[in-house]
Amino acid sequence: MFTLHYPARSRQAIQIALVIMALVALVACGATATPAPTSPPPAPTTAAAAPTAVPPTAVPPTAVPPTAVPPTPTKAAGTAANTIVWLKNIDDIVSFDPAEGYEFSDWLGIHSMYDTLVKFEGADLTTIKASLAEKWAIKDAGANWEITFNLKDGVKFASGNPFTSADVVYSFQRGIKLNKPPAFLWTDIGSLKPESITAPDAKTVVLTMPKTASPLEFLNVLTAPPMSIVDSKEVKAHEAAGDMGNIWLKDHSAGTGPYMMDHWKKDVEFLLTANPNAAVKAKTPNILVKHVPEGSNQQAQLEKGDADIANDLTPEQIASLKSKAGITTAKAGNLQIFYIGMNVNLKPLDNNKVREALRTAIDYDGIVKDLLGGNVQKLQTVVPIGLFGANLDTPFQKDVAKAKALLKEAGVEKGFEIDMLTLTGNQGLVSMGDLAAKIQADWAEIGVKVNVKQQPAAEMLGTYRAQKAPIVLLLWGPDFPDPDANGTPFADAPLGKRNNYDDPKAKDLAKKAALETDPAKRLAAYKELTDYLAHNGPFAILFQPNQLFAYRSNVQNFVWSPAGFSDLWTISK
Amino acid sequence: MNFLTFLIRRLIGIVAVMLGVSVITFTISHLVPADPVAAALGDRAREDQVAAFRAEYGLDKPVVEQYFIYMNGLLHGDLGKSIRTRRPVADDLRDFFPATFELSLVALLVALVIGMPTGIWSALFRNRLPDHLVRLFALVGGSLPIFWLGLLLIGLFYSQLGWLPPGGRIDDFIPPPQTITGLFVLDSLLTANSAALRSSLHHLILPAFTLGYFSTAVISRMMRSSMLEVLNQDYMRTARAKGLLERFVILRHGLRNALIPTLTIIGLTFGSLLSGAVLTETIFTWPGLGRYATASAIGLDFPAVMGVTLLAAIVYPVANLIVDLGYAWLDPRIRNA
Repeated sequence: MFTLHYPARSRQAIQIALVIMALVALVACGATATPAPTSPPPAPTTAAAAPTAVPPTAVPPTAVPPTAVPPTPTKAAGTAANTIVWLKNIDDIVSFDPAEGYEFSDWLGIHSMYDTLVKFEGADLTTIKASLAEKWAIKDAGANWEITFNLKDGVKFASGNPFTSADVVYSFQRGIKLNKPPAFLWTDIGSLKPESITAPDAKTVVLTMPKTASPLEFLNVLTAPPMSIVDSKEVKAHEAAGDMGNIWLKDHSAGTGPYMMDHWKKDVEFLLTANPNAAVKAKTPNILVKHVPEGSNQQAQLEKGDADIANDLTPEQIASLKSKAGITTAKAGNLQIFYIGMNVNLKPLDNNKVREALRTAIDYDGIVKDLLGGNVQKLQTVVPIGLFGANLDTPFQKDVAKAKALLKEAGVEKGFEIDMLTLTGNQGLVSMGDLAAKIQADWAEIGVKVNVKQQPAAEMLGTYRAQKAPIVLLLWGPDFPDPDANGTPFADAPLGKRNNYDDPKAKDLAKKAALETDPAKRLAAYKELTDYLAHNGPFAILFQPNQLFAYRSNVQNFVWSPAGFSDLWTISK
Repeated sequence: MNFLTFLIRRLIGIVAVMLGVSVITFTISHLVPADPVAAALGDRAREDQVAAFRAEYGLDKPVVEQYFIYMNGLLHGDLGKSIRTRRPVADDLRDFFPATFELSLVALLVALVIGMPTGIWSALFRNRLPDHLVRLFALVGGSLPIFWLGLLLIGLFYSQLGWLPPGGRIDDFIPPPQTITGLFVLDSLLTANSAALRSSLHHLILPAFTLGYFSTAVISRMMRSSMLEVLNQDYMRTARAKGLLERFVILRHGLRNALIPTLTIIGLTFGSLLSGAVLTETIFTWPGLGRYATASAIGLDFPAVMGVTLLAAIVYPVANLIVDLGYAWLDPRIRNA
């Protein structure tokens, strides 16, 4: 064997070289590890913020190059005093144009950059309050309903343009004409056409809707971010190729809300700066929402003080943060509901006794308390807690004997085998695989063998839409804060239809409840509908999740709306 | 075959690869038993919206026609519009690819700077303490999952020591450099932006090391075995017999010959760094192509998947071309063949 006779001098030279390399690496690490400059934070950027009324020729219609962003606030120790740093997975953002953005992260920004005619405040989704409209009235006009809005005086857009009824007409007609995902709110829920929206004078808007639509429901719809009022003059100035300013509004803003869009860089961050012309002043000049999809990274930054609010932590991470000094954890409402859908075209699910047996065999308390650690709320009807008309009754408790008896009555006492489709991965704090396994185990006790098939959303939704899924384990969130956002989908379409559930009584109850104009009668109508669906529909409602947060303890007035966003302007530190 | 002919042949090969990849990717993405419209519009889109969406993306046409429309657009520099982001795919690639390219380049640099010397060192001290240490280092690098290593490094260098940032390409409070290449370090240098340079280098250290550690281990092991083989060759003994200094014997005669197999590994490594960046990008919130590609694949965003695949179909052959040129530079026999 060859033996290396290696001269000591050369050996030393190589060793010294390696040591030098290691030192260089360490020095580089140390040099760059110098803490960020601790220069004091500058005056709030609101002072220098230019209104967005830039002459159209000065701004290209396409998006601003992502890196060409104006300077952001400078950093003090921790996060800057004039900036709330919020960590969140924001890869769902499609657009900040109110007529297009229909994802949760879109709405987080839109809600604080624009105002709607009427609004809900904070976490309360049952009391409508004035916003850009100071008052409104619903009038029975024979064949139609007329909702007349009297607009507030003295409101200005961020550009300085005055807010008038022309802006409302333009915003609503724009939403219909662009025909983006939120368009159905005007056309389907409100049964509105462009000509249904009129302005008798600069301070009055009238919506004329046929009696097939519900004015009370539409008032609730009007609180949703897509119903935001845009600055018509500003948006028209940025139109390109007849797009009604859609491309420009994707990453700009033209609202009356407390904030304006500074910049959005896809999958990196968006920064909102205070709107100097807003009637409601923001308590913190800047809100920086950073895309941090990984929970461990969010936790590390929050603990270190480099972030103020973390949005996507697991229940385990929240539990570990509870004992940390300087950090507050919180649970907030969430209107989503997790449900099981049963295809009534398939035997034996066509027999309601079988469906009732399956509903009765589920260990609801075990799911809520053990599997999900109390981070969800027990719910067994289709209108969730937080919405007008919520039905908090819990008619089902796990009862294996009763479930078996129901199967026997249905003629399937030996049980049966069936496929259950669900999503891959987690939905919020819920592992769909674990939840499916729990249901599988519960139903095995009554002799029902479930084959769980986890699929990506695109694949599963294709089967479900085609009404070919035997059983689904899924979740649903209302599109707008009104009970009809769940009532009609579950009683009729799309969810009832996808499970081949065609029950005239359920459809009739849903329609009557939606169209009822007397609030007390409407409440009773939803009680009747939700009770009926609980025992006769093709669903088993499992629970309603909470939204979990952790934030630095110096953060004040952080309120999360169950509708899926926060009043950012109230937050301070 | 002269150099020009060689280059032309390789470029033709790249075009052929791209064509093949486009056919395969397009076919597979349209064979998936799922509906991209359902993924894009969600659970409650109306039928007319679904129809409008299909028409907008040409999904209402036969697959073969869709392919030719796509290829026609491609020849005109149009990669189509992403179903998920609703932006031109070219814009998305322009935003996300430089981040991954920069990260992969620096990770490769880390792998070379650490892997090669340690491999040489290990070979020179075969079966002695330095060799054992290097082999242990390589074993750990080859065994640690990237996500775990990333979390450990964040825990140590960010949470505990506070030396390095936990993610992102640049500090929140420092504006990125003016875009020239999209590579923050290079753009900072080109625009003499020292604050951005410091910050972007600072942000590169942890993700680049995390991504490059596995490659470091591979290169180190490869370098060691190549070096051991070379050290046994007759020409090394001859070089010593001529009275050359040992460092010249090692560096000129040994290293140059040992580099040829290592170079192959380096070329392959660069490709795997580009494609393997997704975990690193997720842990370190690095706005790169890996995460974009994964989200696009899950969302059945086939224009984006096509764009990413075609980009990879360019990068891999180009990396191999550079490796081939490296062979020629290292070995006169290849150069003159």
